[in-house]
Amino acid sequence: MSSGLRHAFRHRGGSYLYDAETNALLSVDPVVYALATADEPAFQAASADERRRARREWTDARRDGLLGDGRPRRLQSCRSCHPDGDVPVEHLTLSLTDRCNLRCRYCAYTHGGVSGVRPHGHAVMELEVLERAVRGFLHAAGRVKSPVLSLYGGEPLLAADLLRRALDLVRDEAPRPDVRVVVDTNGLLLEDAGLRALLSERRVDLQVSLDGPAEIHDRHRRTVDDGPSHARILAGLRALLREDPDAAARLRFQITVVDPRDLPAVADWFRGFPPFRELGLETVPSLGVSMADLTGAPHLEPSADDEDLDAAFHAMRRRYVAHRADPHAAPDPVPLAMFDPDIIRWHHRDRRPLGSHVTPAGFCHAGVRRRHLTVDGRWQPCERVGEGHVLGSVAEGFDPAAAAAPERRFAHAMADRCPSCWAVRFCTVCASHTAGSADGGVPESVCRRVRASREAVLRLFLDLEREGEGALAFLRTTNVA
Amino acid sequence: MIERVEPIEEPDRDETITAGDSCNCTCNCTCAATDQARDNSGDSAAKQSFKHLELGGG
Repeated sequence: MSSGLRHAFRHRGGSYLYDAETNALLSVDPVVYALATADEPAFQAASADERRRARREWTDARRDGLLGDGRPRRLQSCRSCHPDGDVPVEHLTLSLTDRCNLRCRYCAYTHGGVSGVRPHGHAVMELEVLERAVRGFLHAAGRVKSPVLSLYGGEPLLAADLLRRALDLVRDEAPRPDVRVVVDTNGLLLEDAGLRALLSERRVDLQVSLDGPAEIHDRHRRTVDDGPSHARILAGLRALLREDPDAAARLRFQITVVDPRDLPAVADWFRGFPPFRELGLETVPSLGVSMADLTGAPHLEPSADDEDLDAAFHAMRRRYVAHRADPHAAPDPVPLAMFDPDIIRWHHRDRRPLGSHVTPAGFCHAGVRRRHLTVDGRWQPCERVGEGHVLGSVAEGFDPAAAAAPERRFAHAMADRCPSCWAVRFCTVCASHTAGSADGGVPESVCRRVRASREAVLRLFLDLEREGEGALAFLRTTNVA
Repeated sequence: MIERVEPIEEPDRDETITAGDSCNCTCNCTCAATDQARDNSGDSAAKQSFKHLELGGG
């Protein structure tokens, strides 16, 4: 139930209003709730005194800047956010190669059929392209806050010469010592001692795709000849950690979940993460968790019905809340990785009143802070936008007009919807992802899904709040990158 | 009764996310890995960085 830029919902016996005007979550009593939702029968059921009191409080709240009248606003396409010339980027991702030595069953590059996604192939980035891109990045690195170079693929360890050259350039030409390099790998080639030596530099972080215990990981993460990969990855990790136990702090594991019913087993496995535990390392594994995008992979739809899948997800949500409520609990990294980010983002929201324009929060201003270079040397906003959004090339230069175009098309297509959507301030729709769509906008079904997920964040926050301040105290030690 | 649900103190203004400042997408891929990299660079020592992720549910 919503009105203007407010959203009303009930949760565990309480009544709440999310006020987009001020980005505030408000707890209200039932009479105010009835007033807010224009529920005339419920409002009239209250006593006359209660109705007067509710109206007075409503007026007072309006005077304090809350619960605005949802005046007309315009959807903003930020022209000044796309400078005319090239700009220094904080985060550059290079797809070194299309080649991959795994054929993960949920991977969009493997199964194809996803519009705009480049399938696995044999292309490798030209050395000259890599050198120009890295040198350009390093040249500007002194002017940005936290420069990070990501080496991506395909499998970047299959392009070891390029990887070595990129690391040499960073070591020899970086204008500052804190330029970081992240290698995004499936981990299979960590069994190679030469590659491990290459990755032993302190400035190199490794993101390794690892879905949990062998019986879950090997279900989908298969080698080219359809063999398992888990044992080989763990052997490589163990060797890496034996050679350099400090490498544990430079590792991050990316978990892809196909079936939420696997989550308890995945969570238990990472809680006692064998490669760390066996060496007596107390490091808590750093994790990312994402649900597999099964678009174009109907063969992987979990066989359980939606109710079972929801139940599995909610069990993990309860585990998260219980964990946050217990200050003495041992770290439980999977639920933390699943649910902390949304709560952290909510805590760090912009609380200034909404002005006369709105900018959906999913926008990143393509190509401005981060950029991806395809294996054939074309610029993109990130590696996730498919072929639809190209921003020029290394050879011909960055194209600011191409960077700004999807945002302008999005603003035009969504001019009637976003300004009246209560979730606009924490929307997750990305304008760059719409670059290939017919009108540059998104269907209403996407908006509905986003609003449901945003309401879920508010409900999760309220569940933590009910557990007392201790459950949210961790937010004091968080920041935004 | 109309009360803000703000159980702990607000972060400083320069610790808030401005629309368009960073993407809010759901991929949790290379950009999420940069958070840890930045932590390791000492850029945001002793603080847990925000990471991108949305799993929905409700």
